[in-house]
Amino acid sequence: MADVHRLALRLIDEYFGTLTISRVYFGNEFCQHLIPSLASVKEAYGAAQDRGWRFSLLTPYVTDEGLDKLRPLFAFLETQGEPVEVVFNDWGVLQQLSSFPHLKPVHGRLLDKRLRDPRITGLYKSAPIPIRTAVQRSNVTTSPYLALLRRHGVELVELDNVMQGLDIDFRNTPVGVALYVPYGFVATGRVCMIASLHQPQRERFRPETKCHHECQQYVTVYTYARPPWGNEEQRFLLKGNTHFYAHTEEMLRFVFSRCEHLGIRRFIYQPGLPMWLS
Amino acid sequence: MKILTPINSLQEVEMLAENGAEEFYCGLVPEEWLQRYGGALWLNRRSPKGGNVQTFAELNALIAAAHQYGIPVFLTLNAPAYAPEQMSMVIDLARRLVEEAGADALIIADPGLLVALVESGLDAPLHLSSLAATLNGRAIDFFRQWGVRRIILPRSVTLDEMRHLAEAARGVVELEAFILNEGCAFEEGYCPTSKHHSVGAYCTGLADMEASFFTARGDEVPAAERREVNALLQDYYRWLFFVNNAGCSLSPEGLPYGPCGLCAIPQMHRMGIASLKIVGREASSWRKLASLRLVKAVVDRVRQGRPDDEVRTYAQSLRTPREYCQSGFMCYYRWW
Repeated sequence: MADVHRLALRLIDEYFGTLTISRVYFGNEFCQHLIPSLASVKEAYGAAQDRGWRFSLLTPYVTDEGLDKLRPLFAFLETQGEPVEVVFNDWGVLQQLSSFPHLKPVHGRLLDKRLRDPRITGLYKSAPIPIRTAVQRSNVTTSPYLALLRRHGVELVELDNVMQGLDIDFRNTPVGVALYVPYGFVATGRVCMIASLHQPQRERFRPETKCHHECQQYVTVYTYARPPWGNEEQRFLLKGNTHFYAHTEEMLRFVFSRCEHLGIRRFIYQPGLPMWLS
Repeated sequence: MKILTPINSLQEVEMLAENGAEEFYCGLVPEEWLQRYGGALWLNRRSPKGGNVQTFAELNALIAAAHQYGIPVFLTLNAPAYAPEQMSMVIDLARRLVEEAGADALIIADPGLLVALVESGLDAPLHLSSLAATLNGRAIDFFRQWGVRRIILPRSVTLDEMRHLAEAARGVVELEAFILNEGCAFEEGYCPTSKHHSVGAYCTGLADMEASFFTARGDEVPAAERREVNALLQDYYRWLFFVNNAGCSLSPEGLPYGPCGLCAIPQMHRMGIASLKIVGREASSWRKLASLRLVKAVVDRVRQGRPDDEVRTYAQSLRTPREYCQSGFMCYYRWW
């Protein structure tokens, strides 16, 4: 994993010069057991203010229990001076945000439902143009989807840098786009394998399995025994309930070199697999 | 509480209707889509040839035959996302399915398609797929604004959560819940991976990959812990086997294996769940029939007002071998 960070930082330096941080992302997109406490949000927000960084709160897909955890965080951020961004990855969270008009909703990358399966990227690269185009574009850019976002005051959409490549142009759309580097997610779910580690067998692999943040202790790396498309070098990284892939040099160069053409307004750099307990 | 049954041919109507189906769902992939994408991209989460009605003529006849039994037919346009250049084709197809074929509702997942269909003025009820991942009451509020009539709950929703969601939905939106066949290891709406035949489902494929555990710092896991996590991994693969329909096998009695919520039907009945969904548009007619009979046998007892314990014991007696059922790994909803 260290390799992908060395690569990403080298390329950032090559394309953009000295790295400047303008905003901090805090929270988690993938698991409601990793929603930070109010105290830690207050601390992180204060630390960001001290450094002159803007603040975005990441939120995951949630049950009603998860929504209950988010409400006090929204209530605190709502009362701060400048409008604070909240990244939603669940339409219920967006609905909840309508009660907090001072917060700025941002469409999270988990809601970009375009096919994103790194195992099969090789197939798409050699596919006929209609197929390749369809998997490189996002439904987020259809006019009814954009109308939905406008209606809810969303001005920024976040995407992953998918392995089949991006065919997007946000230069003339009413919303901007932000892109995550150097990890994308493959799949995530409420059943967390590692959370079952100390559970009796009949209690294992349930959405309601008691979480003790076992995800903070382990990373599982999956490698191919029989690669389907010559992609034997690929690795899939499992942390907690979510599988990730790391960006390749080709993927990073593609988005760094074309960020103006793609209309990318912001890069979000993840200094590790984004499954921190805050 | 209705029994919603998959169907993919006209020949199945009589067999399923006579055996207790109360709602049908199916899909159709138009020639235009096939010419553009072949089988590489799926219009509705199922292979064009294996899991869909093949022609408009057959679909028209299927819906007419179902209506003679008083059974509504819902059509799937449930890809999680349609690319910009696909949208007009899908909207045209939606109009044709409703206005020409007489579909009773459309099952959709893409919020963009939802908005487009509402704004198009198409006069058809919309059912929101489990792929939209409606996990909380505020999400029900969100989709209710867009006139959704029914929400299909994700498989990961527990019975306690379902009870709360049913209270939030009461009187405004119908809820549908999975009852038999095919689970999801991940949250279905957040697993935008391929099921292409060359790779299979992502979760299924995990068992064919090499897995190595590391500490969060990147060090090797100590030997004692490694044994523990490797044992967990083997257990996880066993769970995946059940999640994926136990290899699509049938028991010696001809009943389907795979995820099941039969024990929870009494509770779901009390919650007011509108419909119980049997998965398997692509399944053989025999598997569809066996699945339907299994669900109907339990639903009949619930409708007769039999006590919960009796219904559960009966439901478990239908699932053989017993150790499959007792493992708990076949359960959508673990009520204990």
